[in-house]
Amino acid sequence: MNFINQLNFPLLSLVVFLPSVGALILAFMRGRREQARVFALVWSVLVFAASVPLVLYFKSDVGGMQFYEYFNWIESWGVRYSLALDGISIWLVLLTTFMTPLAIWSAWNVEEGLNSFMMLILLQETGMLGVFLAQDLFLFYIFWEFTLIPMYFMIGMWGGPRRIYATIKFFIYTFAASVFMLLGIIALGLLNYRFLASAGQPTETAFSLQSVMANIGGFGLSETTLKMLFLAFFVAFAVKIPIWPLHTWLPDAHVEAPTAGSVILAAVLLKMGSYGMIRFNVQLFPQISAEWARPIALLAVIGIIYGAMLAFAQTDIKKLVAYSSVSHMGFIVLGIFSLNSQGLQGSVLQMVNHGLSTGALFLLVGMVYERTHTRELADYGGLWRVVPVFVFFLLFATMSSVGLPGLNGFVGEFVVMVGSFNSPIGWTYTAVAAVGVILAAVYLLKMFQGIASGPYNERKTPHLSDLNRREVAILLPICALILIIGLYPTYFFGAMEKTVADLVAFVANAAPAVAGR
Amino acid sequence: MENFIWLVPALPLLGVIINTLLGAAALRGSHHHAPGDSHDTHAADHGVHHDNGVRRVGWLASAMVGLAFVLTLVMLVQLLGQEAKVGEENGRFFDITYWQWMAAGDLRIPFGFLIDQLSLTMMLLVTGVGFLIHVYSIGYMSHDPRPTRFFVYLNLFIVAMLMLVMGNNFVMLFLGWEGVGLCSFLLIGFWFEQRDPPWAATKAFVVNRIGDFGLLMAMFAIWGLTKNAEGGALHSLVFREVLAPENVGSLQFVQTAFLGTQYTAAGAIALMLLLGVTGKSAQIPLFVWLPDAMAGPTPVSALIHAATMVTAGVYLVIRTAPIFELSPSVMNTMALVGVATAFIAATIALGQYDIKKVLAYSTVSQLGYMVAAVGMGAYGAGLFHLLTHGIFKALLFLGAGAVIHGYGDEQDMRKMGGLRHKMPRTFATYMVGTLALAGIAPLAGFWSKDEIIGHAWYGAEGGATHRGIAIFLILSSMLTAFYMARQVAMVFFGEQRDKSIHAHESSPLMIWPLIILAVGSVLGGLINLPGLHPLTSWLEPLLGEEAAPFHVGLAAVVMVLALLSGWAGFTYYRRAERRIKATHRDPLHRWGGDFYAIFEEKWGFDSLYNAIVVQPYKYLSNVLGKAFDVVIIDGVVNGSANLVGLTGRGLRTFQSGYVRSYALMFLVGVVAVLGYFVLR
Amino acid sequence: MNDVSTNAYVLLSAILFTIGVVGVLTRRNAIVMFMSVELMLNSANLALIAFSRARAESDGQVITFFVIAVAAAEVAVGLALLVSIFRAKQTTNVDDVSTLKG
Repeated sequence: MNFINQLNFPLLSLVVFLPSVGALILAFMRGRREQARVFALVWSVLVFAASVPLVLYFKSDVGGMQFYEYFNWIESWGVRYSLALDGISIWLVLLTTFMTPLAIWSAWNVEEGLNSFMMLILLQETGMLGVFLAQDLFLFYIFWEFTLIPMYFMIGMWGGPRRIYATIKFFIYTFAASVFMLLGIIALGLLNYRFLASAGQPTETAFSLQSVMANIGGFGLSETTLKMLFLAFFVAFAVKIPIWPLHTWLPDAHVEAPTAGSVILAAVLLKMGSYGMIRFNVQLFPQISAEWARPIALLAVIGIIYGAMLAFAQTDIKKLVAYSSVSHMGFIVLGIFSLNSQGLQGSVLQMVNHGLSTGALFLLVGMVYERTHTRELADYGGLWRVVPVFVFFLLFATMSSVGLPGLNGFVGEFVVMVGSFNSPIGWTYTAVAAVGVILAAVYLLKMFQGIASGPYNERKTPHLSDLNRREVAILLPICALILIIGLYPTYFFGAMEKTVADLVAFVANAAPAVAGR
Repeated sequence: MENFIWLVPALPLLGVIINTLLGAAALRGSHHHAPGDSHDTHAADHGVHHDNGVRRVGWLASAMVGLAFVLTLVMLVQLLGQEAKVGEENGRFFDITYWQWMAAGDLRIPFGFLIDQLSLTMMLLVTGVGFLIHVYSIGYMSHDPRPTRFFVYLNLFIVAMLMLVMGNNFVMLFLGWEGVGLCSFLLIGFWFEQRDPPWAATKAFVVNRIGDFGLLMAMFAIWGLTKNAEGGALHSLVFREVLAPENVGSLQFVQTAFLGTQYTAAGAIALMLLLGVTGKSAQIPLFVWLPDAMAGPTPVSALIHAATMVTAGVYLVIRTAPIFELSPSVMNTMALVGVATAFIAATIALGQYDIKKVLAYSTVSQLGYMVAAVGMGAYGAGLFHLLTHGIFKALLFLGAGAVIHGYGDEQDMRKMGGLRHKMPRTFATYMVGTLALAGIAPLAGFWSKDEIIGHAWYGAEGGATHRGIAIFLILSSMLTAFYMARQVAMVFFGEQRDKSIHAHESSPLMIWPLIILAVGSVLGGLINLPGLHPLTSWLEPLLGEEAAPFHVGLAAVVMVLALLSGWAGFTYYRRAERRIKATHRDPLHRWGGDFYAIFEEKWGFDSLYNAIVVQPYKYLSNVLGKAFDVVIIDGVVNGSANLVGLTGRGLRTFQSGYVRSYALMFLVGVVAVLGYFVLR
Repeated sequence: MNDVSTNAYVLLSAILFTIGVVGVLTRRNAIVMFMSVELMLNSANLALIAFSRARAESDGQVITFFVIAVAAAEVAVGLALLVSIFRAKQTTNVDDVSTLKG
């Protein structure tokens, strides 16, 4: 294997496959429940520790991919195993390795099949990291589809009463959409192969993202073909994000998923869609992205408002949070298709923010559900008096999600909207998105007040105990990050600055119509 | 000194942290009360004194704010030592950036403070009045089960409010702006077990968010549209850059069309800012949250919903005056909004029975004065009234709190009466506040209100007059005197109507702040006494506004009218005392009739919003959530899945299990393929 | 020996094949169906050999051997299946063995 990085060590491969090794070891720990969960936690913390050098050695003043490592995998097709990261993926990688230990720790008391559950989470981590790091279309697709499988089993085996419906819907919906992407990937790979062969260049990089990006102009594709290819990728990512109106799998999956599954789903899996949109739709088809920015932004703002209204209409807390994801992910899409520095940086940061705040909300909902076994908002009330520590964290997460300045959500949304306001998307859509900020307060405060305030319902939620040390320890790091990102996001923006600036320049170059704005 | 500016907000923040940690430790130390424990209900168990630690946390919190006040005073001295010149060369400021808060592309938002004449004035008000109210709260919350939480919120509020007035850019201001909104939310909903406070808290937050929407849009536009002197994009939200004359002027030349009307960017931005002002400063159309916010503890009403937070809108206008100046039509709109609010809220105050609600609508009305003043360009007068009002309205609210506290948590004025004997000190200070609010010379309210009315009647030097506005402001001033006289008559005079309540004077801890504030209400006029005009000249380098002449005749007329109106109100309610009963409507209803009913119904704003916004939103959400999403969107998804299923079900009849039918199909297939090739 | 024309062979092959087809489609006894299938295979063999002779090439005959070998193997497997079905169900009627329906 070849690798080009400062560490002289294939760190990315280690980070990606370390969780799988852990899963393998777990397979030999059947029946030893206590050791198994401690092992899983320690192992996932190790993975996080292994990913920290990525930040430490990341050169934020250098554009392009870093920590590149590859070998020719299926040489005759031009498929390579290649991993690398840049300013866009670095925080998503860290988000994944950060949230996984917390998800594992939150699943401490899974009743049956704890080993298998932990294994699935670790396998899931490998898949997600692979998605964020793969630099080869084929490899990307493999990781992309691989992430479905552990989640399928997590929901299908540890889920709620309607888990079968939810899993099948989740699987088939996203899988069906991904098939379009597979077509797109095959098309691009073959076209690039032909292009390279006819240019007399080595064809071993036919499926490599960088190569496709460099050569796509030379494929001689008509605009219609390009648009078809754009759509093929777009649909796959739009379902994953999800963009309105392709969102209906999400609430079902969330409601049925076990807490750890929900956390991973909301915190990381959805981000694969928005990440893919930047990586593929914007990087490969800049001119079409620019041309279709407004229609896509329209879907995004519809999603913002629609998600907010539906969240408001829910009586199930978990469903409410799930729909809030639809609303919040709309901001991310809006930022991406602003196609300027503010929009893109804001949306990348917002991916992390949403992962943290919605992850925290799902954790909290899970923790209280564990005690009460009800998710009906009407059954709750007055928890502020009974479990003040829980409510403190709930307030913190809610305010982060509401977008209170000083916490992370505001930074992301603000920067995204500065971007979209000053892009061809324009002030009208931005105004609608800003209305979504008002509505976020409406549904989130409805949830918060419904849980924390009012008379305490002793019959429906009896014998509540406050958060224990484990739970506080899970939530504290998230809250700390929420605050840190809220007050010093410059650090996080700094790492992606150069990458995004290059991308913006690239798009402006390819689609001069946008550059003027 | 400028190296210690950060200490001013840091001290209250330290209070927040220490008290939170103490509270958390206490929580771990003692197992919390079992649900339903009698201690845990809202301070109903008066007389049963148990140590809730109020003194420790309260004094700590107060000390932090007091220290911040002292620091601010030191800073004042420092600023006075610097050279002040009008306009550009104004040397009296510190502009300090601590770190880059946000940086994305050419978006650069510093985390920094701007201390100039305006922010320092606000800081003095916030920390000064804030300190007194903190001290008062130690007494007021002495029976509450959760004093730690209360003082944490209160300190946090001071931090946020300081961020608001000290921020050196729009986003910093917004940080404070929403931060005070959060604290307001938490404090209104402080007694969360009850039915109303949580609802009022949510309402306040959401209505404020509507205003924040305006502020957000304004920030986006300012960042995107302001050009520097060379004509390039300025891309800044820092006050001293954006509002510099050579930059802000560019906003006048950018046009934008909306609903068929052309606006200059400056006009659109000013309009959006105005929306923010109406939200935070409780102006029409967004004032509806403030009266409900009275569900919170009374010190909160005094601090947040009278003296400081609600004046943030006025502060914003004065701060961003260069933008507003570019758009006379928005200025006019603002003046009209202000005067309409002043008048309508004053009429509504007539129809209230809750002692705090009267003061709440009075606050809305007085904020209307300030907004009208700044709308007419009388920034100094607006700020003057802001300061005096901050003092005497805090006094009134704290006095009302003392009444409520000493009268068994009863708030209905119809059940009170004759309390001047039981609470002499409260009564005396309350009277000072009343006279100040009614605008009786020589108390504070007289001078500041007169400056606004004078500005409206005579106009600025060479500027337009606003006689219509002036007339309505005078009418509102008469109404103010009337409803305050009504309140005083109902609360303090006559016989105690509910004999079952034991009325008592409050503890010294609560009375001393009242006395200090009463002194302030008497002497407040000195802040900008005609002839001397210390405030105007202090602000002149910043605002470029010269002191207005004092019009004795107008002032006399206004005051005499207020006195007459107040006397009329007082005598009327003294005579009608027998007809004041808790179950009856106000005696005025007899001859006010339908008009009075309108006042009682608050001009129908709440029901109107309920009918056109709240209910439709709920309805639409439910339709979308329970029908559209499930039936249509998910219907398409599940429909396509079902289509596949149905197709499969149809095809599966071919798989019959009979070998011979397979053979037949095989034959047919072969014949068809052969036939195709043969006949092709 | 008179030369028999290729046409005649092909005609015979077609007739045999048709008999085989009809047999498979109309009979329910698995053994009879088997015989019919064999008939079809052998009719194909006949056609192959006839063409092979007409074209004076040996390819067709080679393929015929293959077909015979395959047919033998198929019969071996098929009869084994039949026997085991008969043991399980006491019948060789194919319509009674339809448990593999969708």
